[in-house]
Amino acid sequence: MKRFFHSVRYFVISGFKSKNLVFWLILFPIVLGTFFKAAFSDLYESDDMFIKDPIKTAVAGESAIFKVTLDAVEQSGGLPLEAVYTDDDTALQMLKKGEVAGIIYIADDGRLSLSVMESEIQQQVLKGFTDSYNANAAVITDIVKSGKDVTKAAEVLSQGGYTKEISMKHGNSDIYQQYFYNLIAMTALYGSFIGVQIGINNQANISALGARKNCSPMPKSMALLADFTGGCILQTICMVICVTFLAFVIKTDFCGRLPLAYLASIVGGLTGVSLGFLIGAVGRWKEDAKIGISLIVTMPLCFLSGLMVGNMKGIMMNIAPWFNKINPAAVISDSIYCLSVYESLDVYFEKIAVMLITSAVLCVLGIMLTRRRRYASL
Amino acid sequence: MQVFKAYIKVMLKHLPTAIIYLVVFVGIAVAMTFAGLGSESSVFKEQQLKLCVFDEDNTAASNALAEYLSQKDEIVAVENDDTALTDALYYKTIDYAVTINKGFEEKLISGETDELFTGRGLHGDVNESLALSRLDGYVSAVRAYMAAGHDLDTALSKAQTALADGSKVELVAKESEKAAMGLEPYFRYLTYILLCIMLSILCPVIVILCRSDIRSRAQCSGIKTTSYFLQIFLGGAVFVIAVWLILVAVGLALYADSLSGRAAVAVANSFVFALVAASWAIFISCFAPGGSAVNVMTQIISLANSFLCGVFVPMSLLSDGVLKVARFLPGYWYVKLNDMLLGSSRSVKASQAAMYMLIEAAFAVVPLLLAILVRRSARQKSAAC
Repeated sequence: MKRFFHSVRYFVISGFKSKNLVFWLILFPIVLGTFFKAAFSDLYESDDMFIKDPIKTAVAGESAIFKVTLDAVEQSGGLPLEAVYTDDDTALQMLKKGEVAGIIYIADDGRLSLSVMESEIQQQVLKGFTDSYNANAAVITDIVKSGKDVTKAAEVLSQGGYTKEISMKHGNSDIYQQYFYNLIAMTALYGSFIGVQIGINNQANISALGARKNCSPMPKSMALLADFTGGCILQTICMVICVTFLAFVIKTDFCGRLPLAYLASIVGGLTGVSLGFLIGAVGRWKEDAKIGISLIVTMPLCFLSGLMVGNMKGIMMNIAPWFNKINPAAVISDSIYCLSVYESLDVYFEKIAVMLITSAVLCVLGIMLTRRRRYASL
Repeated sequence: MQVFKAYIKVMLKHLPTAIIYLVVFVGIAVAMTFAGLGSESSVFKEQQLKLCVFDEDNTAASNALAEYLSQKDEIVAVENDDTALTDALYYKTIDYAVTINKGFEEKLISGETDELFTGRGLHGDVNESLALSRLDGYVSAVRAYMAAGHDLDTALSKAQTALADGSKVELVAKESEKAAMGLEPYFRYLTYILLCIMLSILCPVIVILCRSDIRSRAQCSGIKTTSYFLQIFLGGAVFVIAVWLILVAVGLALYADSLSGRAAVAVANSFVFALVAASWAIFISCFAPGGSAVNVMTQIISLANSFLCGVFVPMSLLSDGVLKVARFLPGYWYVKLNDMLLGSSRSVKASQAAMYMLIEAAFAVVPLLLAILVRRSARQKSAAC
């Protein structure tokens, strides 16, 4: 047992002395997290989708009904619209200078048309308003033409609120937070560098350390288990540093479930180490080549989970929903996403179970590839 | 030209890294071009909401409403389960989920208006308001016809016709900047790739050629020191110009229809930035970093420049604090000018463009001067020893 703990201790110490591991597992997540914070911190609140100020609109033409309708809409708190009544030329000048989002023209027959310079959200709101106004006008005109009483119809047209609204928001619905969840997933999968080290350190035909270990009296299984334990401890320390930095420096919101976020990231780190262990066990390539392979494997997984493109998981949800359930990066980031978005912890524990099963499968495959290897004496 | 030849030989060994960067960048640019992300239209594009509709009533009235919604918007099928709906709403696969409640038709006939629908949303944004106003508009139109004395079937059909009669929208053309919208993101992302390539290739090559054993060998040969450095400079210049030309040529080929006088200034701006990236590589090489250290610095510098200077996230969305820091980076001035030339900003003066490029050039000159200082002091130290 003493030899076991000795190996564990020295695996951890040598890990912290490796500049590459320290950079990719500790410094890089801190640097990237800081950049994410700088770039995405106020993005959700300042999103165009939340219109806080009234949309300034030029109105060219005269119509008493239009003014009454607009006042009624404003009073009901419906449309955040600030109308500037003016003539056609001034309105066009204002639009070109970017002073108004659009121009509403009132035709002689009372119908509205719109002039805009973009197809952005403010213009979409204006289009929704003019469409609704014209539709109501068409209904009234039609009823009048058919010779029926229009009084009740006009009253009904001003009514609304037929929907019972339910908010699905239970925690943090900021979509940009998922970059931080994916950062944790990336750090966890970078644990594969440690796993590769474990595989290489135990193969006599790949590393000098492997040759030394194979001819030592320590049983191979014990040496492997000691390195794996040391690798997991090393990765756990890195994950704890990463989550602590995000929670207390970057102030990432884990919705009061920080201990569970630590657990998810540590289990995710275990998946990363296991993945690396399998990569390290495959083939006879040198360390650099195997690190390269683990990067080639982990980076696309992180990309498809949304590390580089925010709504990638949503895109994958449409194209191949099954992939999000088996992609380790997506499973790790989802386990933390669950904490922030769902009330129930069922999905969280489901994700933890998936990570543990994945780790077990990867470890078993790695052990199958490394066990009973014998090296010829030269 | 032995030094130049040696430079090219060493560089060719590092070329695969540059090729990987180039292929990935060009591949993404081509994919985005074909996906139409950089294109713009001359007609107004009405936004289609992404709605998920559950019809629990399944009557003529509810079917007519579902059909109306499918004509106006995009209907996305999602499992009727809170977890699946939350995921779809969070990742914006859908904007809003609408359930047409049981008894919808009966309530319409009897004039009841209470909870005809159940709507589920997450963000509370404009799209949710637009979805609610779609539902209100439809029901109000049907109820108005019924209030005027029409039966349900007639009311449904008339409401459908009235609501189809939307408003006309004219898209007023933006003038000069209109055509270059596809080029703007391409030239913006160019800063990231130029920094990555210059730092990861030029740095190790210069480090090798300035190694003391190689320098000593050159010094005891017949080559003059000036000639030695000029040949290294020439090798670097060939590489910088070649990479820059390839990237610019790809951009111009992809967006050939966007070329204008402003695009020419943007090309000049990108050349100045290529020089900045090269001079940073020269400065870093003074400290003789190893392969992994170069990798680390490449990542940190290129990501810092991209995240803080509005390459990955538009400058308009960055906080004032971040922009204040960004002023001390060349990317800030590059992106600002690029946006003025090709993006949504509407005016740029020649003097302003020249000033921004001069500021960028200063970011190239300062590291070069520092590099000369560092090398001179290192030489003096070694001479003293």
